[in-house]
Amino acid sequence: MRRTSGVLLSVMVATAAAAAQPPAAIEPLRSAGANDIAAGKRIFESQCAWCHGTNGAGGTGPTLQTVALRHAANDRSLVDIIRTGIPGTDMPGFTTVLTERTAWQTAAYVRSLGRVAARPAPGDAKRGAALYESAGCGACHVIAGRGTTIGPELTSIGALRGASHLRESIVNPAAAHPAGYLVVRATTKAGRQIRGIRINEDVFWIHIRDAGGVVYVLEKSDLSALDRELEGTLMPSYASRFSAAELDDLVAFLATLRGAS
Amino acid sequence: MRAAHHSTACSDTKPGNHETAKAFVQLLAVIALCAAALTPMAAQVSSSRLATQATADGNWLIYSGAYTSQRYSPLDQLSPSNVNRLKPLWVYQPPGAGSLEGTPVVADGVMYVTSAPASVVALDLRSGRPIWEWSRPIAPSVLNLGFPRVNRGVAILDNMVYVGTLDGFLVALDAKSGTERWVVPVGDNPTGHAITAAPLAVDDKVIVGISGGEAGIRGFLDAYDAKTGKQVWRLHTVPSPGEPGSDTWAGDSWVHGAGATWLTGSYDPALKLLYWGTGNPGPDWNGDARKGDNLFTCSLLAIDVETGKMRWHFQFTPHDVHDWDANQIPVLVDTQFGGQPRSLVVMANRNGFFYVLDRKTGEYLLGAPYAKQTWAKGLDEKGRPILVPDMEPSEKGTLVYPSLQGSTNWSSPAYSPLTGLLYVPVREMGSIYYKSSTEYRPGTYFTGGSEKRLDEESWGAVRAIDVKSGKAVWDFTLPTPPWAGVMATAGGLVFGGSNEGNFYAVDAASGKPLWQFQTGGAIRCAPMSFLAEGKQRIVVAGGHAIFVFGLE
Repeated sequence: MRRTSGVLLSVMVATAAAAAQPPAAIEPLRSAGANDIAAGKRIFESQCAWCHGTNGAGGTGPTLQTVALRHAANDRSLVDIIRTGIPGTDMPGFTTVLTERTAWQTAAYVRSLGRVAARPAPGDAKRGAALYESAGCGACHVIAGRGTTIGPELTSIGALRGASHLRESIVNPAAAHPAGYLVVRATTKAGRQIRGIRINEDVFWIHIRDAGGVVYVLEKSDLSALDRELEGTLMPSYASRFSAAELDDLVAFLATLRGAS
Repeated sequence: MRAAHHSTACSDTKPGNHETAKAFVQLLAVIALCAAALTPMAAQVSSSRLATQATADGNWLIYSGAYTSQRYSPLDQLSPSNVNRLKPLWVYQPPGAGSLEGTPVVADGVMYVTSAPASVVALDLRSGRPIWEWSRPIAPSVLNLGFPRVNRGVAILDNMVYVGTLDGFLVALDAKSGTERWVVPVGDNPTGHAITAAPLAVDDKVIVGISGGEAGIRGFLDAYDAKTGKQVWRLHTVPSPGEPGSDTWAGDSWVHGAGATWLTGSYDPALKLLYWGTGNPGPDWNGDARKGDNLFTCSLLAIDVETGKMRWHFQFTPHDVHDWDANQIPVLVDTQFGGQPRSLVVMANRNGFFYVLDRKTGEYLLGAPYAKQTWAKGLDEKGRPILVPDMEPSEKGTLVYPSLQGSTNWSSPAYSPLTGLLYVPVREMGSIYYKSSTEYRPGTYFTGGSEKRLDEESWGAVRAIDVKSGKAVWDFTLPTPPWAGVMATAGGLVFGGSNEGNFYAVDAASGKPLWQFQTGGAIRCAPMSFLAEGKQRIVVAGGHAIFVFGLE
C-alpha cells in the first residue's frame, strides 16, 4: 500500500521535471513555402476565420494582421497556442483536428498575415472618446474602472475584438451578441416580468441583472415562465443615432483600448 | 458499545508460562475478534452474491448496482413523503482529487471509492474515515487523448478490489488492506490506450474495456483470471482480414479502426452473455479512408463470458462520422413485450435513438428518437438508420443534432421495474462538424476533424422513456446538458445531478421535483444507495467531494 502523500510528491517531482525540459525546436515559420502557406490558409478559413475573420482581419477574435502577436512571442509559442489554446480566453486548442505539421502550416499562414499591411482605422480616436462620453456608453460599460457593469467591460476590448466586430456590436448588437450575456425573461406567478442578463442559473434558481443594474435572485418554482432570448440583447442599436463618421470615430477609439498597461 | 467490551477483553489477556504456545494462539484469536469488532468486516463477495445479491442487504456490489445495470436500489425507506428531510451526514474529500466521475461500491460495511487520476480509498460507512488508501503514480506524460484524467470505479470479487488505471493497467488490491496483489498491462499508453471505466467481475474473471478511440487504437475487450491476473481471452472489436465483418473496412483502415470499449457493460448470468458497447470508428470525423459499415464499431456486442466469442452484434450507427460511440450502459430488462414475457436489452444511444433488442438473439424489436436529431429520417425494419443526405462533417462545417457528445453519453441511465420507465440523462445540443485530413501517428489524435458546439441554446433533461413504446413520459428540465447519471429507487424516487451542482430527487412516476441540495461543484457521476446501520443512505460526488445523505 502506498500513501497518497508520497504519490502527490512524485507527481509534483514529475511535473517539475517536465517543466524543466527545454521546448522542442521547430522549423522556422519563415521557411514555409507557398504550398505550406496555402495549406495553412485553407485550414485557417475552415477553423479560425469564424472568430479571427477572413484573412485574419479580426472579428469576435482579435485581428492577426499584426507583426507582434500578444501571446505569441516566437514561432514555437504560436504553434503551441494553435494546438492547445490560451487558458482563460475564448481561444480553444485544436489538437484534435490539427497534426503538428498542419498546425505549423496554419502558424506559417498566420505569420504571413503580419506582413499584410493592416488597413488603418478610418476614424479619429480622440473624437470617438468624446462621443463615448457624450453618448453615455459608461452607463452600461466599464473602461479602466469607470462606468457601470451591465454589458461587457471594454478596458481591453481593442485587443480582444476586431474592428469589424466592434462596429457590428454598435449598429447591430443582437447579431454580435457576446457569449455569457444571454438575455432571459422571467415571469413570476404574480405576473411580474423581469428581463435582463442571466448572470447565474442552476436547476432551481436564476439570477438576472436587468437594464437598470438591479440583480434579481429568483426561485424557479415561483415563476410561471422562463424564456431565453437567444437573439436578444439589452444593447440598443446606434445605427440611426450615429453618423457614419461618428461610427468610425467610436470604433477607432474602442480599437485603442488594449488593457490597463 | 461492542467495541469497548472487546477492548477490555483484549487488555485482560495474559498468557502464562506453561502454556505459552496455546495462550499465544488464543491471543491471536482474541486479537482477530477485536479487529473484527473494531473495524468493519472486509468483503467476502462471492461470484454468486454478485449474480443474485448485488443490491441485497443494503449493499451495492457492482458499478451499475447489479449485472442488469438498472441502477435501481431496492431500498424504500426514502420516499416522496419524506425525501424533503434528506440532509448530508458526512463528506469525504479525496486528496488531490480532480473530477470525481465514479460510482462507489459498498460491500459489507465498507465503501470503495476511486478518484482521479488513479486512487482508491476504502471508507468506513459510519464515520466516513479511510480504512486504507491506494494510489498509482500517473506522470503528466501519461496520455488521455479524447477524455479527462479520471477513474470511474472498481469491481469487487471475493477478497479483491479491481481497478483499471489511466496508464493502461489492471490492478488487483486486497480488499482488507489495499495491498497490491497483481498488476497486469492491458493497453499500451504511449499509443493512446487508457482505462477509466470500472471493471466488471464475473465468475472467476475480471472483464475490462479500453479507451483510445481518438488515438487510432484497435479496440478490444479483455478477460483476466481474477486470482492471478493471467489473460483468459481478448475480443477485438475490429476484425482483421478474413474474419467476419472484415469486408466492412476499406484497405487496411481496420488497423487503426478504434471501436473502444471504454464504459462498463452488463451481464446475464442465465445466458452467460456479456453485453458491451463499442465506440466510434477511427478516424472519428473523416470516413473517406474507411468506406463500409466499419463493424463492430458503434455497436452492442453480446459475448460468451467463457470463451470471449461474439454471439451476436447490433450496429446502431453504421459508418459513423459523428463520434457517436455506443458505449452507453446497456440495461437488461425482463418484462412483457409484444404480449409475451421477453428478455430485453435496452439502450438510449448517443445517436439520438432509443432501442429495444431481444438479448438472447439481438433481434431488433423497437427504435424511436428520444431527443432532437437531424441526421436520420428514421430507422428501417431492422433498426438501420435511414440517412438524411449531406449530414457528414465538411471543411466548411455542417450543423447536425445531436452534438459530438450525443443525445446522451456515459452518464448512467436507470430503470425502475415499478414504473417500467428508463430514466435517461439527455443532452439537447447541436454542433457544427468539421472535417479535416489526418494521418495516423502513434500517441496523437487521429480524429480528422472537430466540432463547434452550440452551447448557448443547449439544455438538458432527465427524460423518462416507456420501455414498451419508446415514448417519453416526462421530462425534468436542466439548464445545461448533464454529465451526471441517475438512480431509481424502490421508494419511488429518481436521483440525479446537474453541472451546476444541484443534487436532486424527483418523483419516479411524474418527474416532479421533491428535494435538492446544492453541492457547490459540478456533478459528473451517478448516485447510488446503501444501508448503514439499517438506514438508507444516498451517495453522490459534487465538485471534489463525496457526499453521503440520510434522514438522520
